[in-house]
Amino acid sequence: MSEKEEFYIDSLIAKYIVGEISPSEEKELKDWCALSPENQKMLDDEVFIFEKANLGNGKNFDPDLAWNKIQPKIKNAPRGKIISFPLWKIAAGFILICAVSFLIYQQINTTDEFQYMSENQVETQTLPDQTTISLNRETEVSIEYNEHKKTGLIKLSGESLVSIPPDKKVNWKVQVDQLLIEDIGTVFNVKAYPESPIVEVSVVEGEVRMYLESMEGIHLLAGEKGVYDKTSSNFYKEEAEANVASYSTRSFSYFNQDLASVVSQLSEVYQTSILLEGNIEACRLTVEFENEDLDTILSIISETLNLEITNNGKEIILSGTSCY
Amino acid sequence: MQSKDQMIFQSIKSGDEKALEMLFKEYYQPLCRYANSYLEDPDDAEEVVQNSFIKLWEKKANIQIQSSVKSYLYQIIRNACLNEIKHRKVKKNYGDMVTQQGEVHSEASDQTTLRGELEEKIAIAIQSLPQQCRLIFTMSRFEELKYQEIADQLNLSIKTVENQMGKALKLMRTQLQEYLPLIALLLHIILEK
Repeated sequence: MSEKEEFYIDSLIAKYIVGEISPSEEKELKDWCALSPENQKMLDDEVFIFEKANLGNGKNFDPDLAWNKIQPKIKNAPRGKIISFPLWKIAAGFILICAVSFLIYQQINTTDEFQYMSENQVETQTLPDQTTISLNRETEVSIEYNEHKKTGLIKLSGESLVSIPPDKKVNWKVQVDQLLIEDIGTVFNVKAYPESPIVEVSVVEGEVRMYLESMEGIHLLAGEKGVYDKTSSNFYKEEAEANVASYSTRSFSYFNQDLASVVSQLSEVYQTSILLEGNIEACRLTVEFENEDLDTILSIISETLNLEITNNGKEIILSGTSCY
Repeated sequence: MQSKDQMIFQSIKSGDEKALEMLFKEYYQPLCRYANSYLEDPDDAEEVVQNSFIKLWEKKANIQIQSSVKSYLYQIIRNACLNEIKHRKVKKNYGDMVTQQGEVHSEASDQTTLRGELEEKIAIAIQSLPQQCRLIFTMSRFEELKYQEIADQLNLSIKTVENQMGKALKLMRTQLQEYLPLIALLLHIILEK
């Protein structure tokens, strides 16, 4: 048998063993086997070797020990795991989700309420978002504040100056009955005493919108005053009075103002009776005061207009003969 | 048998840890021996098999088995071993890797019976095959792959696979020549029983 033939037979035997021999090849192989017992033995030997082929049993590997070793890693690999819950677990899960949702909903809807009342004194309150609200005398506010929704509603009766910090975090609205005043980053004053037929909104800084739910209303910029007529439900604009917030700021700015008006405002803000004697009511005054005490203010006015000051304990009297 | 394995594998795919344990315990020993036939280091062999099972568990959702589970397991072990050998080659010098043929498993064990001894000799014969011969033989014998599949995986022609298989069996037969009367005797005994 030539080497080439031998090679061919070897591969036929192998094909026979692994079951990839074609019928014609198989016949060829059988014929070859029939040629001699040696040939047949060669085939039998190789069949036997293939069947008994193994990778040695000299070394034993312990499956139990190995399993214990890898089991923790198996447990920690939940990827692709099919989740199948029994019905009660689904129900329990559902209830849990509901409960959590409810708690979150409640949390979001938790509204803090504050109530402030000023009687004879101007009071300034600072709200949680650093917004300050100054209440003029005889003013009542109730505030609904929701930190999560970032909304705040000030229900007002009386007069208040609202100052919202520049890094505005909360959308504030002031409500006077049906009237709503929406701030757009601002310091503004709202004068809404119940007995007055009008509501006045004066903007010191920024911009506000005053409107009704049913009516668009007006936009106000700094220096503007919006007036809402309660009886006719009309809005109109005026120029803001310079000293609209003086009750809170104690800042006054007068330009060619008559003395009677000045004194009337001072006595209101400082809650002191101030009387004028002599023909001085119409005297004109142009002056600014920045958070001064009343004595200083009055002495400046007297200097300017050459007046005399008398304090009898109950009231202060300014007296003079004429305007310079 | 095969359908039992298939069922177990389906359970594994659906996340049944017990099924994985069953498969692991059934195949751990033979797979370690298979890995050891490549790596010639029992510790490395065990590590390869263990890691392969961990990977199998992690990727179970994406595994599709066309052939038998057994064949699949042998294949992933072979691939892991070949990877490991590649890594070693980077670490070590190429030379001392490839050849330790012939001296493997030469430690005689006292308790080997006649039959055990024979199997041992066959195992040694497999280990003694030239590398490509051995690879093709084990892929055919233990992974139960068709010639075409082996050819595809190793990027060889089917003719080469045929030749190498023929060569492998012939070489083993030649090496086991002196035991062949023993085999005849054994066959005789088996037939008599």
